[in-house]
Amino acid sequence: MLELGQFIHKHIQLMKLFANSFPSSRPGTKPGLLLFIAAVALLLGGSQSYAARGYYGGKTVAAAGPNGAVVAGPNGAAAVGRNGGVAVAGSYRPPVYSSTKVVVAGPNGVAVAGPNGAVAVTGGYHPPVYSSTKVVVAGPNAAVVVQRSYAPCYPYGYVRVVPTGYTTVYYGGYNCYFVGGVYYRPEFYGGSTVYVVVKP
Amino acid sequence: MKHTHTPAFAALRRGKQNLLAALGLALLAAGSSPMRAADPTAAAPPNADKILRAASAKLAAARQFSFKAHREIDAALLVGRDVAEDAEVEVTVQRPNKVFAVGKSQLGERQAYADGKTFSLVDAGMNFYATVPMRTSLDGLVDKIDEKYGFTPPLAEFVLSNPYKEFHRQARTVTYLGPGSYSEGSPNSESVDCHRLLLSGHGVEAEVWVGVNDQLIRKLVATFIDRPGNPQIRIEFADWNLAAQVTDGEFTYVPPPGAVQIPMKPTAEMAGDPAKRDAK
Repeated sequence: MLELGQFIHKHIQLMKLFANSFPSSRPGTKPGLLLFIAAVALLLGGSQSYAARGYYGGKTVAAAGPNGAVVAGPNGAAAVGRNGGVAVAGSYRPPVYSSTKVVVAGPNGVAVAGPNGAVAVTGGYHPPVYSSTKVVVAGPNAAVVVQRSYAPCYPYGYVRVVPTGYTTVYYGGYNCYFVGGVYYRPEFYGGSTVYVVVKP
Repeated sequence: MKHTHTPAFAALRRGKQNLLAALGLALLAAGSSPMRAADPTAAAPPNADKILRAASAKLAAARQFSFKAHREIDAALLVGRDVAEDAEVEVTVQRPNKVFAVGKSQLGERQAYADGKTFSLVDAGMNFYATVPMRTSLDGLVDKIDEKYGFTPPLAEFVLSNPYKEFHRQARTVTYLGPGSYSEGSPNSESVDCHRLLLSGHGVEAEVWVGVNDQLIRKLVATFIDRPGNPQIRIEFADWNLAAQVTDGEFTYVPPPGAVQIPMKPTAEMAGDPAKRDAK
């Protein structure tokens, strides 16, 4: 986990970035919500999350960590998904895709947190973004549409197919397939059969 | 059964602008046509939304029904695969809370059972199954499965109590495209006159064919316009039976000898390294 000092520093930095990104007079934006999301994201980001700040065309732009996200665009907004979101935006910046959750904010867009993890968003002129799980999209008028999931992405540690040459064994309380020194335990995930890779 | 999800219709964006521009030009051209101007009796196009509402109402009114579908999903929409999926799906419904669906594709056979008390998912090829409590209606089933397990049973949108509401939840606009003639594919089948509707939503456009005389949905082609290559899902329906004879036993899974029960993992439990997660 992050050291406390690092955490506070990053939190303050992010708060400043967000504060700069949201003029309070702009209608339709919810800086309070975004600050909350950003704070939660930092808390959940773990050791891999980080905040960063870059410059593009003389303007502050976003940077995203592998497991956390940070954002800041001239008129952008950002938020972070529960399981490591992704980041964000700013004027003229393309949306970002994630295999887990996605958070995106377009120019003058707003960020929205979905019920099952913050996914997100946009408005402005950016195209919408698909997540492998849920997607919450905010249009220019902040109308939110939650879509049903389509094809699942398999998280790290899962495979769809067991290598050939396996033997069926009982291991760890489960029926497993053993091959190459590795156990493969079947589960249903997202409606499909997947195998958990268990290395003894 | 594969976890099919009839497409979610995501935000219209550049495609919508182009579509609107094209429609605008088309309307302009039509409006300036001398033939059009000289034919004041020309019939207005059918009301697309009314057609969709009628098709939905027909399904909603059926207490016990079944249908078959041939479904093709382009590889770009399938995780970890580079080959399109080609599946035959059969669905049997008894409102308000029972459904049985089976899907057979090149990857095997999946079955889904819901009897109002439990939901069972079966990998027939591997003889795996999972059964979880599920005391709910069909509407609740679709929502709960999606919310907790991250998928929906095949063609679930068509078994909900209010398909019209579901369509409109996903589509922003419904437009009449024109007439079409649809054949179910068998050599002796007669072609069916259809209305062709365009449902435009967020990132997806779906063309839906509805029978002129029976208001049954015959075909659906969803195009994901915001993805590279514009991948599609193509579904052709057949053998609609709105008075299917069913028994309660058809909706409850009974494991055959040798079947292995495996966990059905909620999506919330899938974060992180599963080996480390399970070791805790």
